[in-house]
Amino acid sequence: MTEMTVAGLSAVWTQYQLTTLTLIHLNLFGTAMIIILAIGLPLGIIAAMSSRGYLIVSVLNIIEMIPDIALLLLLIPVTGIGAAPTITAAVLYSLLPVVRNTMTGLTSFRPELIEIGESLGMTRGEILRIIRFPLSLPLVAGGIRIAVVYSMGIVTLGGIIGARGLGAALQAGITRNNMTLILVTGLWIGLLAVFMDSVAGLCERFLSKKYGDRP
Amino acid sequence: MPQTLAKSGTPWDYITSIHLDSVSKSYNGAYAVRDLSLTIKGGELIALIGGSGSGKTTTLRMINRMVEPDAGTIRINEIPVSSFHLRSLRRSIGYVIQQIGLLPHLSVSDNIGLPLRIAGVHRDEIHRRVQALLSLVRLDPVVFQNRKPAELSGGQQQRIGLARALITEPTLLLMDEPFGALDPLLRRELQHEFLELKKDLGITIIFVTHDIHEAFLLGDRIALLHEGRLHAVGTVSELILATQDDPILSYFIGDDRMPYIGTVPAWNISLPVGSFQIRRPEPGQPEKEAESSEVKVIIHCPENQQMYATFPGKTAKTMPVLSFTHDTSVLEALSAFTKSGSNVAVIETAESPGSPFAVILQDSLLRYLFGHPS
Repeated sequence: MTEMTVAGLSAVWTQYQLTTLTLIHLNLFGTAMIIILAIGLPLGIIAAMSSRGYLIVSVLNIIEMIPDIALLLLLIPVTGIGAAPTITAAVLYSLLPVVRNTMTGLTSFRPELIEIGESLGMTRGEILRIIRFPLSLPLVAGGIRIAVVYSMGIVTLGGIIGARGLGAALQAGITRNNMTLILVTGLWIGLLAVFMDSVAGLCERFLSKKYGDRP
Repeated sequence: MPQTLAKSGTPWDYITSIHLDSVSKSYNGAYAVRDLSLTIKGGELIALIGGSGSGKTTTLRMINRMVEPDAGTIRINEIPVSSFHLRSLRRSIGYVIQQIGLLPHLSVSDNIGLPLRIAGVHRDEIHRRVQALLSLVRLDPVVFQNRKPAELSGGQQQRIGLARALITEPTLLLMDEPFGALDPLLRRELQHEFLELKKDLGITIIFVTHDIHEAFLLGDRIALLHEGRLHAVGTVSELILATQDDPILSYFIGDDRMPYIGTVPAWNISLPVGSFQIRRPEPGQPEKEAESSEVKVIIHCPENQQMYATFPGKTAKTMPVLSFTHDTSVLEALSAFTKSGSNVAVIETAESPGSPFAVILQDSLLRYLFGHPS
């Protein structure tokens, strides 16, 4: 076991190319998040506007019930190994909080706000743009924050099916019984996750302050 | 009647009349409004009053087609509302509700300017009109324009709600219990401010309330709805007179919620012309029964003090009923009397000899005595 000194930690970081793996990790995570937002927000809006919106949420609920590691392995026959199943699993797993929160945000508001919108002759689109969407932002941000945490977890798991990223370093540490590597990578992943969650939390607080409907 | 000229694009320039013809609306088989016919004159404020579930809000919401009637037609200036373009109809009608419905994420000025923003009016013009409307509803633009609704009191929020409804200069204003959620003192304050504002606006207003005092104070006419039907409609005095033969009207008007309507039959008279006296009862002395040869008018004050005027030699039967005065000297004298500590007021009337008038039954007097801010 490598010594737990600064020099030792630095050597582990360099030897296992943790900087590169971090960039790959963030790349996987970023790609997943972009896809989650690109699919999740429109899906949430559709779910909110359609009378059958609950069906979308039901399907996502079923996906959510599959354990994340099983979902990763199930995807291998479809997508092969590597980044593709990892990103796909992260997207599938994280869609639910985004879609559900977007739908809830767009449909839960004081009814008089819509009544006033209608009384002013607003179209459905105007009501969505001017009233419903801004007021849903705090909840949407809450959903995205959960998606951030889920995605960080799944991207890490992706290391075991060849997606590289920091999960790969963690797996190397386990295989080689390298406790220093496990600790350094584990703590680093934890720090990254906490940082991402804090940034998302700040956004959520900002949006709640700006668009929250406090009595 | 003064009329505000509307901008181009609105379906009418001013309201001459609104007709509701046999309008019905039911929800799940239960009638909310049933075969209701009512004519509203341009420029008047009609108060729709009734108990919970009497159909007043549904009636109001059918006018700007927030609710579509199952049967019957509603016509504005003889044109059915169903033939107007929905957006243009709604944008020509101001709408104020008890819950106000200010958008929490927009500033006060953005809330007031919202109807203009969606109509595509230029920002500078919106800003100019928002400033004017804030002043109209007695809020300092400098202080309030950038505030968020959460930073306002209930009364300030309702003023903003009113300003938003008025910014498009509508010639018809629908108000659904706008002051219902306010505390009694603030409600009274806003009612009186609204009375002043109403004079300047000169527009047609349909005002839903469950408060008979509010209806009497604000309404040029009052329409009583009962179980979805129009039960009675008339001026304050017409309704007060009708209470004698009408248990439902009497329930709404004649009970102890109306301190100034005491012995209704005694009001069925006209006062003589010339000089007459009003006398407070002597302290400690029971009220003396009026002689059969006397007509006694009893005024019940909000403070539960009674005042009455007696007219020897006159009986209700021999006097002509219901003629109205706009004699301000009488109003002022009565008003001064209610506030003074003196027991007797001698009131001169400027009416020409021989023309009787009924002081008590006169709408503006009721307002003057009991509704005017002291």
